Amino acid sequence: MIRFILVLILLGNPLLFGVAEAATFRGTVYEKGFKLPLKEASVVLLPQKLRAVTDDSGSFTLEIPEGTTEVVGQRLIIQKSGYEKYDSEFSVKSDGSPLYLNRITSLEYETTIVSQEKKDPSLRRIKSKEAVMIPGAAADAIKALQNLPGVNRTPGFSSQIIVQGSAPEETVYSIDQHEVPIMFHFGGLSSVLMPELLGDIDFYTAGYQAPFGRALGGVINANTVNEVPQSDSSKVARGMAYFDIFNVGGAYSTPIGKESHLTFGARASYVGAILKKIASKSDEFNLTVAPAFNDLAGVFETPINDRLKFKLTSIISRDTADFVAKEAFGNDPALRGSFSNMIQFFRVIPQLEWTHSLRSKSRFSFGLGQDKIENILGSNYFNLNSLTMSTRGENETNLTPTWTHTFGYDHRYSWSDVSFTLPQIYASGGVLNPISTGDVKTGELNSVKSHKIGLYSTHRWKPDVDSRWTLYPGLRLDYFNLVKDFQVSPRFSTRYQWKPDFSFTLATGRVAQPPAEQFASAKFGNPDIKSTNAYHLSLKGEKDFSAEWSKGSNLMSGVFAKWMNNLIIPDRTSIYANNGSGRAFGWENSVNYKFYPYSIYGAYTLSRSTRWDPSQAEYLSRYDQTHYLTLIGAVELPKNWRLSARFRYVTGALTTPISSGVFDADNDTYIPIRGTSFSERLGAFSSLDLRADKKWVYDTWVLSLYVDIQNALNRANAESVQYSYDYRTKVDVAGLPIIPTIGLKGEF
Amino acid sequence: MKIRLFLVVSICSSLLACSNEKLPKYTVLQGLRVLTLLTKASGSDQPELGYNGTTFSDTIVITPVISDLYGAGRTLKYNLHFCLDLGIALGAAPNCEGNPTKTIVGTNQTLISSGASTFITPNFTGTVDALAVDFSTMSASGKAVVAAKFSTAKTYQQFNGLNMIVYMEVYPDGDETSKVSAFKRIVFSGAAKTTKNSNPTSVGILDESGAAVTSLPSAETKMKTNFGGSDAETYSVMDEDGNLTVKTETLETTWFLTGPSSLTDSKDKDLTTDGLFLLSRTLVGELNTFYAPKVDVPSARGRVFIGIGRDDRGGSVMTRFCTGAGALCP
Repeated sequence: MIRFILVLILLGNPLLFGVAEAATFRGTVYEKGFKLPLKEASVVLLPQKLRAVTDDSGSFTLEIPEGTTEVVGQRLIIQKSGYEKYDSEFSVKSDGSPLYLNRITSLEYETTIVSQEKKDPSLRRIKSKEAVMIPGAAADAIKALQNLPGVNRTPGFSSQIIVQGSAPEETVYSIDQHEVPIMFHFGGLSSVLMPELLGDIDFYTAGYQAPFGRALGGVINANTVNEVPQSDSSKVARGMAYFDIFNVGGAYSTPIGKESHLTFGARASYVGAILKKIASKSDEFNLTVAPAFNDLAGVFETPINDRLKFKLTSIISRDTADFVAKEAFGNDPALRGSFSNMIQFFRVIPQLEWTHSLRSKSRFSFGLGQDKIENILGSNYFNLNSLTMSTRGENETNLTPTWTHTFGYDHRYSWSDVSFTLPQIYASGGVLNPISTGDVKTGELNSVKSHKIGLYSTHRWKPDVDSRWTLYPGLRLDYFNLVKDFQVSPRFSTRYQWKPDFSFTLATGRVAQPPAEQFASAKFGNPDIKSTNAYHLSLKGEKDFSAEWSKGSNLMSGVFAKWMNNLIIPDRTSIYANNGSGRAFGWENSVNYKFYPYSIYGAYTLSRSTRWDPSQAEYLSRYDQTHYLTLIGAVELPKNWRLSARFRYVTGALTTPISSGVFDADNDTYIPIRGTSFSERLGAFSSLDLRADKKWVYDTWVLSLYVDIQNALNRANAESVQYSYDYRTKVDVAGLPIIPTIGLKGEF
Repeated sequence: MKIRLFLVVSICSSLLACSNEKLPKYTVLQGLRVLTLLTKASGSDQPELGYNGTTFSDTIVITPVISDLYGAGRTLKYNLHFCLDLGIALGAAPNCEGNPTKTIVGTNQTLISSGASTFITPNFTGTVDALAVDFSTMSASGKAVVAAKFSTAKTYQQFNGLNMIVYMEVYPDGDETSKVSAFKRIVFSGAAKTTKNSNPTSVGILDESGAAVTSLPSAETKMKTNFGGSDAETYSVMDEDGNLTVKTETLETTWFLTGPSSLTDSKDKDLTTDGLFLLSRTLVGELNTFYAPKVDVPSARGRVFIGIGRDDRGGSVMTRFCTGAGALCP
């Protein structure tokens, strides 16, 4: 009997005998933290060397032969590019359990694929998800544009983008290619579109192609997310909520059915409430309404049929701040009393993409919105209520395998009511005369209709399929009805693919920009004012080191030049006149080097920007910055830590010296006597920003914490100059001190 | 603390200015300054003249209000000239250089003699002798420019008025590098504007309860200007389309107080020698807070308060009193 029992035990112990019944092991592989199914992951069971590959749902099946289901030291290994290797003891008893792979993350700043031809050779594209992790960007992807070569640093607290020596107002901001009035909330704290709604940021610089116009400097377009056709990551619902010291927000993204997708998010700031509490203790300053910004955005995508794809983007943004200044700011009696500022806009942008055939495709979009601005400055005010409708349409046809033609239109219509009581503002050399010394104008303009119509045609042509040359001739025609101005703007670019990983690009063309409405106003400006224009030239080389080093490593170096004409300057006779000229040129470079777990990005720009007009010989522009160096480094550490740092060095900002002030006995203030415009330079700016990110990745959700320290060395960088009331003495105004920011985000 | 600083700096930056402790305060009188140029026509208390296209209706009288607190009673000189305003509001330099209508009234003239009693020795803060300005002394070519400017001006501009500029430089005798300058617009308008602007009047300073303040209080006090019966005038402004809009003047007071020679001592209301005003300017009826001095009240000079009232279209009036005994405040 005992012998029988022992035999049964021995027969039943597979570890001893290695024999058992055949088994089927099923598993599903997910990205850890998001429960995102991972397809095409390689699954290996050792020592049996059984192999499987996950399907679209992340599932796999291993047929374990009879007698090998239970072997000593079995290990299950799963590998997928971009994820950490999964290597764990295996037991057939865990059949059906979910398996999680950690995603490998690294800082990839600018997306440059040298061997790939772009629709526009001047285009630089930044991925939102990576850009938000740049130190010093306060988790804002669009602010991270300031690290690109050719982008000058904006002195002070603004986040406006200065492109290759042009003025900030010479750059157009758009969302899904439809212009918006602002891209940043007050103080430049944050852009108006939260990163979760943002796909990539397209940045067009000198020599940009004919589909865009109306901007002497450049075009920044925020592309909202594209989740259709659904990728692996968009097949599951995802959400996030976060807060930092400035604001709080959340976003949710979910597939709808098998083909559609909805993403939406909202943010609200509370930094103003803190500011209000601080200001309540001031005798001279009283915040009556806390500064606040809010934005809400959504993107819905659905295919209508095999050929038609529909997308609807919507965004609402609102900034408000009211305060009472009991003491006059800057010794300007007009800057005293109640101040109120509100700017809000919304856009609803339906978009349709129609694939006619493999060779032809059309895109149509329509931007309907409203811009509303209400400003009260003491006894002065400015109210704008503008309805805007913008439409874009284009057809792209591959006429031959080497010839693609795109033609389209770009129309922006606004219907505005404006009322104002404002003084004329004179700010030559960037020095503002006291507002109280300007002639006060009162006006009411109703139903001001502005049409900006653009037609364009571009070609992408290669002499033959194997040719190294690609030519991009184009033409844009613009008409601006307010100034009755017709502009013809030819563009031409060419690209030479010297080697598969090395290319050169030449881009040139003419661009025209209509004057802002106030310049053309008969009541406030000069109705005879015309458009400004510029000629661009850009030459650059790009080398992709992916083959030699690692994916994403590349080097770009190039030069640019711009000649600007008909610039609008103040004029004593006609208030404004097209009498200004300017030029800017420079050498821009960037390098991106990745060798996991390290990544390094560097950008350096050497540039010069000048202006002149009949009253002044050529002088340096306010936006001239000789040197601008940015270095960013990051390292991925174990346990989901990431440390990163950004160092910036920028030549000091230019200021106009003021030799003295003349007392204006009527207005009780002093009028500055200026020296040569922008002939003095402040000390160089340098700043070290540090950032630490930590993730706690649970199976189905992720908790992230970041600490961002701006100006970690607490360097007192001079940002501007402040003068005494009579302009006899001056002091430098230092920029931000060390600013630690902390943020916490939970996502699934 | 850093976040607080950041937030305050951010909003200040957006307004382009914030008070800076390293810079002198507007209300504190320390060096040589022109506080205002009181103006009236010789025939009436009006800073505005009529113009018929060739001649002005009157001459004007300028009374500078000067402070030279630490000048030790030195002689002050002046240069004075006038010209047509060619567009200061649009950025023209606030002087008459290169202006074809420039007319010199006086060069290197004595404004105040050393130790002159009219200048309130030893406090050196107050009005000096009035200076007559007669626009008819302009050259014939200058008059032609003015006449052409007026005749080519649009109707609304002729009604609202064009400006003559009276420009003044004041400097210590022998030291033109310390020159301070000021200008005053003299509005001249056509006959269609029958009522010219009048200067406001002030009958002194009142405290919060309405009682008259005639010397600087010894304790923290809220006070306001009493503009008296004339108060704010109503007047008409013509727009580009010829429509008349009735407006009411905004009366505002600028507050000045003598202060210590050291800049830093003038910043803290607990340290100042002469006291300190919370605000540099107040609207009519608005209270300002006077912080009385707590340390080192000057014994060798008086403490002088000056309030300048303005009507936002060129009219002005001055209130002044001095606190101190005997020769300190004659």
